[in-house]
Amino acid sequence: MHLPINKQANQAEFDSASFLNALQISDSFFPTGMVTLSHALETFVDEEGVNSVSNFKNLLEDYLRYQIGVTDSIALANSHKAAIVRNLPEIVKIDWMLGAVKFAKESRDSSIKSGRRMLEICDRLTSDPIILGLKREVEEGSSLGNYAVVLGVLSSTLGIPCQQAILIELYSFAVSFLGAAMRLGRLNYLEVQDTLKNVTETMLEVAAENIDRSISEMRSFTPSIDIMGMKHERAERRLFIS
Amino acid sequence: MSSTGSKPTYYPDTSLPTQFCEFDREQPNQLRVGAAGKEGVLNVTFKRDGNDNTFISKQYTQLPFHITRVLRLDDNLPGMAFLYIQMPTGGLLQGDRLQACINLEQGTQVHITTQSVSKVYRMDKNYASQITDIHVGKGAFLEYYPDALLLQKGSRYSQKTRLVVHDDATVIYGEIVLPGRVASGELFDYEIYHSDLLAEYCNGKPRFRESLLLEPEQIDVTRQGMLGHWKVFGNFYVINKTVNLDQLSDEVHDILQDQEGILGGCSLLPSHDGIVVRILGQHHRKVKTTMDQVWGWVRQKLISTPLPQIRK
Repeated sequence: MHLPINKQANQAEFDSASFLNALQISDSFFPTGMVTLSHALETFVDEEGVNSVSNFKNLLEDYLRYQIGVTDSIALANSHKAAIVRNLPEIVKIDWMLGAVKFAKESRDSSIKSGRRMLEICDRLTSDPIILGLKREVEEGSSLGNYAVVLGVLSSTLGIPCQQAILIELYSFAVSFLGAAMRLGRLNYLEVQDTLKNVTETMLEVAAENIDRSISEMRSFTPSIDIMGMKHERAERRLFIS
Repeated sequence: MSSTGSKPTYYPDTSLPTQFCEFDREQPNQLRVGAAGKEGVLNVTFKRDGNDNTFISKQYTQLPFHITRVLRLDDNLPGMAFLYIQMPTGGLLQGDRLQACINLEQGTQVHITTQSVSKVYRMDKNYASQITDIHVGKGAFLEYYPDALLLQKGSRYSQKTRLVVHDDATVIYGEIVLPGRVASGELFDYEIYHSDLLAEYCNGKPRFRESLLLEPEQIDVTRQGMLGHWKVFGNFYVINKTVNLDQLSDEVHDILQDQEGILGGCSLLPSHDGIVVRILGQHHRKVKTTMDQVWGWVRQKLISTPLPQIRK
């Protein structure tokens, strides 16, 4: 069945309605469960004594540039494009390839959990067959339902352009990461806002660098982040799921 | 023993990072790309005979690849074939293009290693690359554990490895990457290192993919999220679905936490039918002995035999 190309997710037509959609799905009010995650930051704080504002900023940049940007954002961009041309098999393939590069169990599991939460709600936001198709694939176990992939497809159906969708992802990650830093008692509410502001340039660069990359170009080297995630898996005392 | 001149099957995605396409515009001043001794081919098939001995049923090599005859080094696994891959050139030079295709047929037991550290020499023209394609058949057992990769100052190297593993096969795969000739003052002075390891099911679905591109002069690899203050990194993967993997993962993780002088962790593979181990350290020796300890533990759990004496 050949469906018409979804023209909504066009950069020029990012209208106010789509902007509101973007706000809704990026708000921490939206139940993706990201507030329960620290992305192994909890272990970094415990083991390496991450403490200063600049240290948190540098570490957040490592996550954004060298892990999320070069894996999740590429998967998101490709899913967004595949959703526009209604290519569900391609989306499923991207979902498996993204799952295959996530080496710490907790980060993999939380990506899938957040994505599936988003899928549970998606039919309240849109009746677009491509996102419902992905939801069915995930329910049947044929696709994983990674957060970045679901966000790519959903934002495309909600008229949110690809670049903005990547920024939603990076921003949501940064908020989740800094929220954890705050709840771990290491940054105060002003330092968190400063840091968020200070990584905007990084987020814009990461989005621009990765928006046109193909899935085969997903390359990441963050062994310390991976190992901290593996340690967090066994941590006796912990505030966060990851 | 028959020989065949057929080339190995290529990795499906033949695109290298754009940097390598740039390097390819310039030929080495010495032997050109593709000249005799520059295009290494290694094509080996293992079979099992009626006495449970694994032997090489087909082999073809072209310099700079060279292989030993099969050795029997494990008294507990007398049929296991130990194969050393050698390079008479002593390392990888600019313009070298290596392709290896290793095929383990049903029920074979194979250990593949190298004779010494794989050195990648300084380059001012072109680059060196290796494409490795490994098929592991039903019930086969593969240990692929070459010596460390040494990226010398100014080297440019790309390696792509594809592992196609049957559901009822076991693979133990270890690799260590060194930051240069540290004793001579080299430290992350290589120009570019690209590695793409893709493990698949027989139907082509991915099990896991470890893909990285390091250009230490462009991006500082000692950032906290990357190597931090560590210098040597090692990865170790086990594919096997017969043992309790949650337990194995916890046990291996505990071994790593008991070590001084390394940072290490273990988790389940993305495909949930194996484990992944990451080890960071200051010295090659420490990372290697730690990885050997993990290997020994895993071997004991998987096939109830200790480490064999591997002569180097």
